[in-house]
Amino acid sequence: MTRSKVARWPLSFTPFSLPVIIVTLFLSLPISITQAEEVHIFVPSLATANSLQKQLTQACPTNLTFQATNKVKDSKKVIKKALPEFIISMQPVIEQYPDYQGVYRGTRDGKTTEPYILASIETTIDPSSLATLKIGVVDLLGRRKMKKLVSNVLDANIKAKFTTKIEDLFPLLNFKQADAIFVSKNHIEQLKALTTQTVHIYDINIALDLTWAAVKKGSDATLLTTCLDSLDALTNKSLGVEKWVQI
Amino acid sequence: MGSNLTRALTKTNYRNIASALLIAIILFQAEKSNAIENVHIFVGQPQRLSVLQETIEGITDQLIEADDEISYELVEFDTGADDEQFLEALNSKMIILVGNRAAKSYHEFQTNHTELEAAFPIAFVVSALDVDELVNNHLFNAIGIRYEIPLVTSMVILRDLIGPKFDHAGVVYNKLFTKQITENEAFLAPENFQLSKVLIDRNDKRLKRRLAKGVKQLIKLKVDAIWTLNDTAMMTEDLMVGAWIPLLQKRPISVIVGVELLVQTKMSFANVGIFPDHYGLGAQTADLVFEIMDEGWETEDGEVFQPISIKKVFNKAVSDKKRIRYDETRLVLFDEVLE
Repeated sequence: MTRSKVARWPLSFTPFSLPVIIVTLFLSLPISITQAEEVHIFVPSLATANSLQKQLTQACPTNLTFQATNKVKDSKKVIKKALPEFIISMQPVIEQYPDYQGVYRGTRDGKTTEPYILASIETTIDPSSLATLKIGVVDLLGRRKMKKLVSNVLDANIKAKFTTKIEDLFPLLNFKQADAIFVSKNHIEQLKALTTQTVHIYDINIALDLTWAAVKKGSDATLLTTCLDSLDALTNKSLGVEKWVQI
Repeated sequence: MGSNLTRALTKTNYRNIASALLIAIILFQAEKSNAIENVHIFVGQPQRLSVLQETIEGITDQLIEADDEISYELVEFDTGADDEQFLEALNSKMIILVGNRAAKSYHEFQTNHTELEAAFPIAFVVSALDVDELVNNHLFNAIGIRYEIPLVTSMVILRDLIGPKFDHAGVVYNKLFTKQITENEAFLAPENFQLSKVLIDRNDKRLKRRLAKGVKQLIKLKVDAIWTLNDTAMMTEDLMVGAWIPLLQKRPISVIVGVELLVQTKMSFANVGIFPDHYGLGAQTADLVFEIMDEGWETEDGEVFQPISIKKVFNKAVSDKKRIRYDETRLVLFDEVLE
C-alpha cells in the first residue's frame, strides 16, 4: 500500500525535490545579480585609499565592489591574480597590462591632460641641472620603471626619492630628504593649501593624461561607465578629475 | 708578576692577531661577493608584531625591485639573535635592525665584540623607540629613522581640518624629551605654529598634581591642541584617570596622540591619532639604502631621519563631544574615521 502511494508522486514534485529546484533556479540566475564586479583603484590622491573606496562604494552601491590601494606591490598582485573586471588608475599603470583597455578618461577644464611641475619649499632650485637634485615622486610602477618614466619625461637621469602617497611629498621637502618634487599642478595646488611656507613652482612644459578607467578586454564597460558618470564633484576630485569622457 | 704580564700580553697579542685575521676574512669575503651588494635584515618576533612585519614588507618590496644590484637576507629570531648570525652579517654592507629587540641584540653583540669594530657595517635602526639614543649613544656606525612623528605634521593636518586659526599647541614634558621638543619647535616655526611648553619632573612624588597644573596652564594659554608624547611615565592609568581625561574630555581642545589605543572612543580622550605608516617606514628605509649604496656605502655616523609616511585616525565621536568644529569634507584625508 505505502509503496503504491509513493509511486503516484511524480519525481519533480516530491517534497524532497524542492531544495533541488531552489538551488537549480539560484544557479541559473545571471551572474550580475549574484556577484558584483570588482573595480581596482590605484590613483595618486590626497584622499586615502580607504576614503576613495568608501566614496565610490557610496556612489555606486550595487553591482560593483571597490578595492583601493596606494601600494604598487598590492596593485600588481590584485591585477595579476584577482583579475578585476575594471581598473581606475593612471595611463602608464594600465598600459602595463595588455589584457585591459582604457574606456574612459578624466577631464579637467575641458582637457584630458594636466600639467606637471617641479616644486620646492623655501629654497629655490635650478631646473636646468636636474641630475644633481633629489626629486621626490609618488611611485606608481615600481622603483625601476618609475625612475625610467620620470627620467624620460624630465629628460634627465634623476636621483629619485619615492613615496607611496602624495601627502608624503611635502614632508620629504620639509625634512630635507629631497630638493624638489615632481607632481601634477592639481596636486601642488592642493598641497600648497596645507602650508604657509613659500612654495616655488617650476613650469617644465610637461602634460600627462588624467586618470583613466579600463576594462578587461572583451568585457562590457557599462557598469563602470554608468557609475563614473554619476559621481559627485567631491568623489571626482578625489580621483583627480572633473568629468569623464570616452577614449 | 713578570710572567703574568708576559702571559697577558701574549694573550692580548693572540687576541689581536685573531681579530685582525677575522676582520681580514670578513673584508675579503665582502670584497669577493661584490657583484651584488648584500644587506641583512634582523627582526625579533615578527609573527607577533604585525607592525614590524609591515615595515619588513616595505623594505623588501623595494629591494626586490633591484635584485640585480642588491640582495637581502632576513634573519628572524625569538629570544635574541646569536653571535654566529651577526658574525655572518658582518660580510654585508648594511645591517638593518627592525624593532627594539633587534637593535638591543645587535648592541649586545657590538659590546661583546669590540675587537671587530673595524668590520662593523652600517647599522640602520628602524621601527624602534628611542632611535636617537640607540644610534648616538649605543650603536657603533649607525643611522636610523625616528619613530615619533614630528608635531608639525599633525598640526598641518589639523589646521587643514579645523581652520587657519588653529595654530597653537601645548605640551607637558619631562627633561628627557628636551632635545625632541627643541627640534620640533624648529619645524613648527616656518609653518607659523606656536608651541607652549610646561616642563615637569617625571620623578616628582606629586606627579599627578604637577601634571594637572601643567595641563591647566596650557588651557589658560588658550592652546588649540595638546600634544601628548610617547612617554610611558606620563601616560599611566593613574595619570590618565586622575589628570588627562577629566581636564580635557569636554574642552574644545584637540588632543594629539601617537598611540592607537588612546584615540579609541571608549577612552573619551584624544580626537586625533597620528602614527607611523609602517609600510611607508619600510619603503623609506629601502629608499635610503639605495641612496647610501649609490654613495658607495658612505654615510654620516649617527644620522637620524624624520619619518615621512603617516597614518591618521580622527575620532569624530570624541571631537563632537568636545564641540570641536571641523570641515567634514576634509575627513577624506584620514585613513580612519571613528564614529
